[in-house]
Amino acid sequence: MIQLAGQLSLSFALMLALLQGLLPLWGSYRDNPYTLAAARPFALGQLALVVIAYVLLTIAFLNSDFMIAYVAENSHASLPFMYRLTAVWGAHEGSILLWILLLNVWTLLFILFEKQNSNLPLVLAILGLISFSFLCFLLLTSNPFAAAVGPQTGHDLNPLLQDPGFVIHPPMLYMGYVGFSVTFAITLAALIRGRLDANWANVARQFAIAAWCFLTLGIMLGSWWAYRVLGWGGFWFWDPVENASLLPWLSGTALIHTLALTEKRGTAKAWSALLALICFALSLLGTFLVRSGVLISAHTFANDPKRGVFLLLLLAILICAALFVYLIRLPQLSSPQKPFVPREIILLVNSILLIVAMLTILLGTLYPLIFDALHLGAISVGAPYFNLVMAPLVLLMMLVMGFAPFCAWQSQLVKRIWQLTWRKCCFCLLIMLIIWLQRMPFMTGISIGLSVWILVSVMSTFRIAPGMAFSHTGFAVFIIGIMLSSSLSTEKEVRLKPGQTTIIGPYQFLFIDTEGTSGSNFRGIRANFEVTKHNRHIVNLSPEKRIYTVRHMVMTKVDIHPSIFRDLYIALGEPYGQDDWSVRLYYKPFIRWIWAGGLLMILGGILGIIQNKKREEQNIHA
Amino acid sequence: MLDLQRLKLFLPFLFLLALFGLLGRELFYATPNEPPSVLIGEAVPHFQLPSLFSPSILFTPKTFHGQISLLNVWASWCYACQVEAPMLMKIKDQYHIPVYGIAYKDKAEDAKQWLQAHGNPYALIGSDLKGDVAIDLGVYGTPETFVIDRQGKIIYRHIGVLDQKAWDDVLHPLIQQLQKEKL
Amino acid sequence: MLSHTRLLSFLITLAFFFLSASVFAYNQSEYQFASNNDASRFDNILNETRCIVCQNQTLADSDAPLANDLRDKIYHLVLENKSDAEINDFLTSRYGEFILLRPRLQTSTMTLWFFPFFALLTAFVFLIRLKHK
Repeated sequence: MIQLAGQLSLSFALMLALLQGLLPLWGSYRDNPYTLAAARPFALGQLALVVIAYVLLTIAFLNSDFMIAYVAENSHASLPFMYRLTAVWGAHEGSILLWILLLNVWTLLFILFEKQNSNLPLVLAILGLISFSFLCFLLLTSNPFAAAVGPQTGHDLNPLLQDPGFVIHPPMLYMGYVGFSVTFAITLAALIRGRLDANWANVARQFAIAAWCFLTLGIMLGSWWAYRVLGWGGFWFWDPVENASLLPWLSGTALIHTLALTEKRGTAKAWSALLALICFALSLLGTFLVRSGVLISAHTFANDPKRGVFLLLLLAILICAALFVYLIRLPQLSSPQKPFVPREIILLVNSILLIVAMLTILLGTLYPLIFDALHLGAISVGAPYFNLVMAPLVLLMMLVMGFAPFCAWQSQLVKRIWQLTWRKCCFCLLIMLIIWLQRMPFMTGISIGLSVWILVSVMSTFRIAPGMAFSHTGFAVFIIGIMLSSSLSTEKEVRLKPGQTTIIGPYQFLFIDTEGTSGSNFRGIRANFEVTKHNRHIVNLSPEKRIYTVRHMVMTKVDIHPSIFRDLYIALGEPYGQDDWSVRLYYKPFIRWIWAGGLLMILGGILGIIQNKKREEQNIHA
Repeated sequence: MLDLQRLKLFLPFLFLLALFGLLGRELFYATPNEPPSVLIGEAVPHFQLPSLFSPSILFTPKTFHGQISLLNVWASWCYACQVEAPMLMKIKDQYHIPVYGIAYKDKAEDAKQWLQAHGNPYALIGSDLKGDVAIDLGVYGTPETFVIDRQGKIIYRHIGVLDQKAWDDVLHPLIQQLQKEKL
Repeated sequence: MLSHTRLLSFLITLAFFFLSASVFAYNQSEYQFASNNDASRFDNILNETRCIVCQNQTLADSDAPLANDLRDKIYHLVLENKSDAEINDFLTSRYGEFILLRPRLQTSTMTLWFFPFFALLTAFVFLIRLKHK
């Protein structure tokens, strides 16, 4: 029953999406107000049907309806309730359905916030066509409602995904990815109409910031989740799937800054429009890469070349069509010829740095494929490469970020900028010196010096430009977190028996005992530790080793004592005997600053949107 | 002037074509988790292993000279090796290709017991207790099978279970081609 | 001026943390080295080599038996005072360039290593040209 209803909703949604896509385009061509007006109801209808399909799939999971193949492969009768809800997006088919759902949610948001927008029908049309393509992909190659073959008892959800972090990370990440489809549609609609004005720049920028906030949140959550679940204390691995999420983030950041320029001065229109198209293209590319199976990654979906081809064609058609429209309209996109002002130059430099960083990561991620295609063998491009290559780019970015608030929107002498900043520069150099004198690594010194430079530069702008102030502060805090945690952290691997103590940093870890533990779909061993510092009790930590019975997978469950200034992290390694365990301990100072910085960046984005709304209202009342 | 404009227009599409072509090709041909062996075309790296059944007899690469043979790295504790055992017997009995073995990190007793249970397709077995020879061969899992030519050069490496399909599609045609050369 | 003082005090607090924390590589009790230099070299190599069995982990992190064997091999090579390049050659002659997480600089990887620099250069030249128009 659910199967049939689900398939029907999706099929009807497909039809509505097609109509939503084609009718307004036709209406725009023929200036027919009726077909143009059809955009909104069809969009809302499609949203309703997709929501119904999604809810039906969720119900199937909650009821453990194993007649549906997708449910059987990703759930089990003993799977806890919360994970049954979220297992809906645990594998390929469901995650595409989530993608489509969120695309329609963003469409709804656009309808709600941009009722007056004259381009509304065209934007909805483009979003409709994107949704139509993905619905085709879903129904033709990745049907979540496909019937199971033979009776099933359920394969359970991958234990790595049975974690609170998993509950929220994919939806937030997808909200980010899919959010750029709105800026894509807005830009493409404006290009089709042939009019890219300040209003376009403003609307595109607001939606870009919103999408960027979600994407930042998604990436931060992914990093935090990896830290908690993978058991090695790492928070970023330059894994191809992680890189795939970083690419739209970098170009999204460039987009936000460039649109500010276009909005304020009307220049760099062609570049902003191109960035808007590129952001979504990168989202699509990321979606493809992750599911294609062509790269080695810890995040794997079950791969089928036929699905990959469909997705690749979808991606190719969308991007080529957009590029075609862009190139046709390019001659008309000339910006007014004005002499550059300092703020403009610095925003363009920022663009360059971010896009070069994005292209570098793209090249590094695809390089093994290029090598293989040219029959040069197998090569790995891993963390050491990316860390080395990104360092100078990030440092340059930070240097530029610090100067930005002092660069005016009018013509300004370089001398004036220097007047405003030289004292702060000296202060930061002093900080760097102090750090180097502490025998800390060179890189740590420079990065922290530059982070302080950013903090000092936005110090007085919190009232006039809270968006920029908080975002830049967040980035500085983020970098401080990374540099301090990597240069100050210590780890230790020891073999312990109950009753033995080991020391890491200023903390003593006493191995108390082990006990059996079990949950609805796993059993395991829990080791209890007491942590003390100078004989003062700090916390009890209990890492576990679990076996998830259905999939026969062994999982290490880490225990962490978080704190603003340091994390204590403990994981069980291999058992040597009855109670003799290999234990890994990590002392990680300032690691929470990484995610705190991310949250500050998101706060900055939200404040930016709010400030813009306030300004709009002021303009209306003026 | 017009041609330059046209070219500029086409350039981004050419770039996209290259990108999508690359991705499309790799979709079908990429095996990212199974990198090809770097020893292909080179002589089998020198080793000297005691034979499993009579440790005084030494198994060295000299054994490969003058014939086309297979070198199979296996272990009694490896489930997949059990699965491919019948195929190896077939290669020995039906196709008459000599199969040599390296027992990877296997105790002699366990290996011998396994051979009694599953049959012994090997002309000679080297006992690689520490796994050093396997490392020299670039082996990273069991089973792996190498095709070795008359000069003792590695021609091909097959990763995983050697089944009838892999034999028919790749290894047997390769061996037949080698047999035709230079006789 | 007030904000400067606040920042300074924050930084002084930070300095105390630097002084109290220690900085050393992890100490796997099985692999002892006479010199710290060797220990950190060993650690670096392990962190920059892929585990071929659990391909998403480095040799430092992986529990796979082959990872164990390779760690032993590398340990002995470091004790024999073999240089980083020699150890990399040992690994790549058996497992290919694939095993190194940092691609070595060869003609085939020139594009990879020099792309960022040349891209930046090109972009800045373009920007300057635009400014002078």
